[in-house]
Amino acid sequence: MKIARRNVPAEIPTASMADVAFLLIIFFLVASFYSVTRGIQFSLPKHDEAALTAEPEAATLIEVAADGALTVDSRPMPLGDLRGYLAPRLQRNPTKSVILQTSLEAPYEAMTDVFDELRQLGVRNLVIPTSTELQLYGLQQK
Amino acid sequence: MRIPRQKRGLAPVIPTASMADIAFLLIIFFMVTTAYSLDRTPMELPETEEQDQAQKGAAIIAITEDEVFRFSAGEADTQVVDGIDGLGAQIRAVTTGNSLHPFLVKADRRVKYRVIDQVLEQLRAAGAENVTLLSRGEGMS
Repeated sequence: MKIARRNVPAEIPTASMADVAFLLIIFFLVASFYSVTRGIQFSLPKHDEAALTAEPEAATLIEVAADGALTVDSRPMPLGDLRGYLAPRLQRNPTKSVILQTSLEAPYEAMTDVFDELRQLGVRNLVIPTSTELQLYGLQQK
Repeated sequence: MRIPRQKRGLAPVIPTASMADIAFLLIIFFMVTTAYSLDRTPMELPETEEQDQAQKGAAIIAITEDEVFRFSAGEADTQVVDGIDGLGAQIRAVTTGNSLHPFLVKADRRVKYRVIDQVLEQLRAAGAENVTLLSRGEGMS
């Protein structure tokens, strides 16, 4: 007797492939949200380069006190007024130097608040001197 | 005369053949753009409105509120280092090979600026040039 051959088409089951793929997508989505890799970037001066590339007299000096209070060019100023003070000066001279000097006792957040404001204003020549550099240039660290 | 309704042999189906292709394309996109966090130290980052995307493979300097330093050259997870001198040695080990290697400073917002100043001193002494202060975007929970 002749047995009839069954005609089953050859195929690779791909029904679950989309499920697996979407599961992987969700994993990478979640992983990318948890990774904090954003911040404010700046360039440190090269080792053989002078730390203060600007003359302190020609630059705007912003001092951040231990309690976070600001003194701009020897005048006390709230952070909200900094934009109004600096914007016209930067319009006249876009390469105007700004020196940001923070008290060693101030919280880190007080420095980043001012730094953020200066970046938003578009300050191109921002100097953040370290305490050793301030001593080299005869400036007093508070 | 009554016309008999023709029976159609086509079953109603949603074509899903290309779904896997689209899904894999999205996977590749997320694989390329995801930067894995090498430091999972819980801390409160400062908030800033201005934010730049940090470079992949950057060395990480983590500073907690109680002034504990952790360091990673950018490949393995961060490890605790022995004070500011230990951190300085680790930074120099990275910059000796490549002074343009990017550094991420991940510090708690309540840390005294004295600590950040010491870290910047070490970075500058080691010849590092590219530094990013990690922050949280304003309004992000």
